[in-house]
Amino acid sequence: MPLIESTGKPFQRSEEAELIDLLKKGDDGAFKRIVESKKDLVYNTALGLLQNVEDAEDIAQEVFIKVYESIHQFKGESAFSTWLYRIAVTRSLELIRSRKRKKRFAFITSLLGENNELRHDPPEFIHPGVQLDNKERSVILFKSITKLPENQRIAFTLHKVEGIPYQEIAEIMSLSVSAIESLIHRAKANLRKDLENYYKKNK
Amino acid sequence: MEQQPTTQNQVELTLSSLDEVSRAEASPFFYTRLMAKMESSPVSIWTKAISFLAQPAVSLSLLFFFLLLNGYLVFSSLEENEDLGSTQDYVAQQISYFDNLNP
Repeated sequence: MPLIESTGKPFQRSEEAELIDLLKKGDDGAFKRIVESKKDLVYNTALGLLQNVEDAEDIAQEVFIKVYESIHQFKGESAFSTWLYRIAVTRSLELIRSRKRKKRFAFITSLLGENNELRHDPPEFIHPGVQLDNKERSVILFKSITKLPENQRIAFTLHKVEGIPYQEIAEIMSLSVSAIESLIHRAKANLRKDLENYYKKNK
Repeated sequence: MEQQPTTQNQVELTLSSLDEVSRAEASPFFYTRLMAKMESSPVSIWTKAISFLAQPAVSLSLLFFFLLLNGYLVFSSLEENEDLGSTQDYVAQQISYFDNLNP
């Protein structure tokens, strides 16, 4: 995937390394250029996992705050984009887990008769990048993706929504390429099963 | 007459509905909002300290250090008790000796 600046001008890897060095020295201009060139990558990753526009923007902002604070920890052992993906995935998962905990807690307290009302199921998510013909089907698919186990959900979403190759997903998730292949294979099998049930019920 | 797609076809079509998805774009005001967020919540020294201590290497080293310190304190207090015990024995022996001398 090409590295594109917000102006549309290609963003070379050597230039990226230079910007990272400048950011390590505290150059705010370098930070702005990094944000402008990588914001879509981070936002789209968070959006794919969280399936909510506001949450995705919040998480994308947190990712760049983390980058600003921890750029000294980036040693260049992996690609900068891999590092960004890793932070985006971690932050998104933290939010998903905290939401699940709150939902469970609200369920328990609602059973005990307190005033915590159960949150309704999130509204249908339509990814802005999906083609018009596929919009309806993608809503069903995204809903089904939320039922996958965590690792399958991450691997499948990164591959399908962000178009990341298996090799890079393996680096992001600190797993082997064969493990990623297996995760995506199992994710597809689980999705097939869930979608079959859905279409049988809604015939 | 158009044939209704089978369940299997529906599943495959749905699975491939994300095949040509394009990347979602962040708001054009993303950087401005990010700056506003960063200015409104400056990182305190406590946040930095907590995030430093929360690193596994740091927290494990600290745990190991405190375990060692704890072990050292326990053993040194045991040795002190043994010394105290021998002093008490000596005093008791002396008293009984003088008691025997003066019937």
